[in-house]
Parts: sequence; C-alpha cells; structure tokens
Amino acid sequence: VAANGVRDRTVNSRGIEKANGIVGHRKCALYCASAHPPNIVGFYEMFGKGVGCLSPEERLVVAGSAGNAIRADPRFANVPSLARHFVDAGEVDEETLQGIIHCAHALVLPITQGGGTNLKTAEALWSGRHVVATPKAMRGFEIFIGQAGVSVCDDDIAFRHGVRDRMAAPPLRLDALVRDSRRPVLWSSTLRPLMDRVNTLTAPRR
Amino acid sequence: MINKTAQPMVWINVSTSANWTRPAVGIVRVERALALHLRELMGADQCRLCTWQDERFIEWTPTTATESAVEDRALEALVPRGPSFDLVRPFLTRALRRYGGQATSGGKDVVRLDIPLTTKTSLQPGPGDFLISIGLDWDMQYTARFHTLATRQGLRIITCCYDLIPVLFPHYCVGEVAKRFTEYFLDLSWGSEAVLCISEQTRRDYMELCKTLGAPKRKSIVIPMGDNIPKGDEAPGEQVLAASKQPFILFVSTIERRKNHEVLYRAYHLLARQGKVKSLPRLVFVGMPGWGVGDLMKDIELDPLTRGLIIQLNHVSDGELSHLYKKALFCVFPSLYEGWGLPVGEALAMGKAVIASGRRLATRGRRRPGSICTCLERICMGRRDQ
Repeated sequence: VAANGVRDRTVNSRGIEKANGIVGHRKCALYCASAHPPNIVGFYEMFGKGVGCLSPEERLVVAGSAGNAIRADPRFANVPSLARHFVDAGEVDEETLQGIIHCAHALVLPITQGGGTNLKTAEALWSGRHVVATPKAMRGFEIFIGQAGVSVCDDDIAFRHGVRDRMAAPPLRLDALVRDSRRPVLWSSTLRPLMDRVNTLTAPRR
Repeated sequence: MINKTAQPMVWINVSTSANWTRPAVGIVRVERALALHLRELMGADQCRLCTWQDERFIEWTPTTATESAVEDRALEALVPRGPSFDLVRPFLTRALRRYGGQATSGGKDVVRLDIPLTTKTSLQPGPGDFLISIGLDWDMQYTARFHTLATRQGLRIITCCYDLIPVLFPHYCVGEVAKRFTEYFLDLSWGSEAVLCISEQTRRDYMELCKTLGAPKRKSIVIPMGDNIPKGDEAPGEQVLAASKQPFILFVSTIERRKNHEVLYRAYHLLARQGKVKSLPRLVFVGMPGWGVGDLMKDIELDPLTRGLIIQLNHVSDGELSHLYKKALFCVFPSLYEGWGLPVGEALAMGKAVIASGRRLATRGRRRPGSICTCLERICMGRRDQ
C-alpha cells in the first residue's frame, strides 16, 4: 500500500498577509474542500441546523471551490447564523492557502460520504491546528484518533459541540513527539513502501 | 431591601418601553414592571435605567414634567422645547436636581450648578456592571452586540427567554421567523452571563436549542412572571358595559392563530346548532386581531348561529379590564402553546376559574372543539340547572 500523502509546506509573511485580508484578523475554523458533491452534503449535514458553535466574532472560512457551491445551495439562506459566519475564500493560490491554514484556529472535516483517500485529513493533521472530524473523515488515519487536538464526532450535534470546544481551547501546540508521530502523512513516508519496492526491483541481481 | 454594599451597578435596559408609543402589551408591561419593582427593591442609586443610543447604552431618565418652576425656567433658558431636544432635557433636569443650588447672588433668578469633577457617577454601564435586558430584543440592533459588550467592555449581561414559539412553531407566527429567532437566541447564548426563563417549559426548550446548535449553555434561572391585578380608575365605556350586562365568559389575548380562538368559536357554533343558544353565556374576546385570523373574524361576523354571542373588544383600558374580570363567569385560555400564559395568572389573581389547554396541545395538534363543548356544557348548563 502506498497511500496518498501531503507535502511539508511552509508559510511566508505574504501568505499570512493575504490570509488576513480574507479572514479579517478573526479567529476562524477552516474547511478546505472542492465542490465535489459529498463535500457539500457533509457540510450541510454537520452545519445545516445552525451555526451556534461559533461566537459572533468567529468565522467559518471555506477555501476551495466548495465555498461557492455551499453559498449557491438553496439551504444556505435558511441556516441560522451561517451567513453571519461564512467566509468564502474561493480557490486560492498555494501561498494564500498556507497563510489561511496558519491563521486558522481549527480545521474542520465534515465528511459524511465518499471514498478514496482523505487528503484533506492528512493536510489537517499535518497543519498542527485543532482538528474536528467525522469518523468517515478519519478513515485511514485511525491511529491519530485520540491525539492532542483531534476531536472525532459521531453526529452533527457532537460535531458542533466539538467545533465550539476546539475554538474555545488555546491555540494548539504540538510537542515534538506528537509532531513526529504525524510524519507518516507526508509523501516522504507514504511513498516509502513504493520506493523500497522499486529499489528491490532495480537492485542488481546476484 | 437588598444589600446595597454590593458594588456593581445594575442597569435595566428600557429601550423597548422608551420607544413604545401604543398601549403597553405583555413584554412591555413586564419590562416596566421589572424596572419599577427592582428599583424599589435595590434603590435608584444601585439600579438605573438605560437605553440604546448611538451604538451604546446610556442612562435614561424618564421625560416627566419638571417639579419646580425654577427647574422649568432653567431648562427654558438652556434648550427650547422640541423633538430635537427631547433627549437632552431629561439629562439637564437630572443635572439640575443633582447638582443645582441657590446662587449666592441674584436671588431666585439665578441657579448655580456645582458639578464635582471627581464624581465617579457614570452615565453609562461600565465594566463589571450588570445589564438586564428583557424587552423586545429580537427587534433591536444591540442584541447582536451583547457578546462584544460582554467580552470587550466587561458588561455582565442578563437576558430573558420568554418562549421558543417562533422556532418550534413558526407556522403560528407571521412569515418566516424561525431563522431570525434562532439567531436571536444564539445571540443571547453567546452574549449573556445568565438567561432568565419565564417557565420550566421555556427553560427546557431553550436548553434543548442550545444543545442542538452547539451554542454555550448559560446559567438559566426560572423567573415566573408576577401577576398584578389590572387597576384603573376609568369608568367602563359603553361598549364594555354592554358586553358585561349579561353573563359572559372572558378570553383575554391577542387574537392570533396560536391562541386558538377558533376552537371556542367552533364549540359555540356546534352548541348553537344543537339548539343550546339560550343556555350559553356570551363569549367576550379582549384583544386586537393579529395575523392569520382574517377568515375566523369573518366567520364570527357572518355566522347567523353565533351572531351576538361572541363579542370582540379592543383597546380596553386597565380599568375596563378589571371590570370585565370581576364580572366574568370564568375565563378561558385554550392556547396551542405558551411559554407563560400571562392572562391565566391575571385571571387567577382576580379570583376567577380558568379553563386552559394542556401544555402539550400544540405537539398533539388537537384543535377539535368537542372537548370544549363538553366542558362548556358541563359548566354553563350545569350552572343553569343549579
């Protein structure tokens, strides 16, 4: 098995500046997703009854094409407090995305369906920010359940409570040990079995 | 008296009352009663009134006729009478009363103001002060600011949850209100240190909403509404006298779908069809027609079977209401859902029996008039028989 992984990316001051231009220096929860329908379904399943889990000053930022799809959905106008908190960052460049992740207090993973690799879960775990996820979002990353800063919530009510708890918590500071334990989500780790296999195949036969 | 040594000032937000120009209705009356009784209990020095003006709460002084001719003359010299100066006149009156004194020269034609600059008396709520806000806050801009006022200015805000009817039963309300009121309750949760609930039912509903939406659960305290017997010196008008000449049943409430006037009309219609008109007392509705009752009002107006049996009174004064309570055989309150049925308490305080609906009526959707018919027959016709 050679799972998908993420790159160890760095943030720069220009990215942070661009991010603050979008987020307005507010404390925010971030959802990075494309407009792939399951991402929208999951979002409304978790937040569709109302966004009571964010204080009036906090924001729910969506980066990627999911933002436009969520706003265009007929449910958007009827969800209590969604419009007040919602910030559609749109499809941003890499520098800005890293800035937004850096500025975010928590990353949310409201994934309730879909298959394949949860790349955004890997990105969220590697970001070092608080993570609030559904069990579905943690598929393939079960070893991280229970780690510091990771909340896995079974239903929508628990998910919203998870978001509120994480947003109320101090910024996450991962110690070196936990940080190291998350290295398996990087490409350098996920591709290791493949590289080993290739090395075995290309090694001179004796 | 409550102990006055406690330092934080208690401010009562009277923005609703201060801006209310019609005869006071439920929540307006509650806000005024709270201001009156709490100030009596705590003393005016410890408990003050404020309104929302120019993006902040500032002290509110009621516009009253000045007490002395000197104050009147001093005010006339400073500000002309007119709407533009309505706000400043009460402040100046207060300043005159607090700091004014007789001038050493000039006799009665001079007023001297000695304002101590070291005074710590503030004109607005400050850090650590309590702000109690129980008015029609869902219509007010400041509700969305409660959280900021609490976190950045240190105000300790106490709000009130009357009921969650617009969220739980939006179909009994005007237009699409569920989202707006849900957002209002979220503002309360985030901005309040404590939320007063007017009944255990309201408290349960409110806590459940907070749980469902992930909002913080604040300290919630059940404060049942106090009931005052309506007083008033005015003699009843002709319409009220005419309505109360013969035996009657009283229903005090705004006429709206949730209050379920319809079930009473249907019951009267059925009993009249059964030929029991002569045994029936009149039915008097006191309250103004609200939204969604146009068809019902038309039915009552045109139905030949019930014509003259059902009377609707509007703009009834406190004195007239007191007269109606005294004269009524008993009161009815068949509302589909209530946070707290104020007229029930009022009627009981007047010593009247009340036929009221059970608290789960709305969720069961029972609107059949049959049980009301049975009840009315048993009471009214039994009374005749006796």
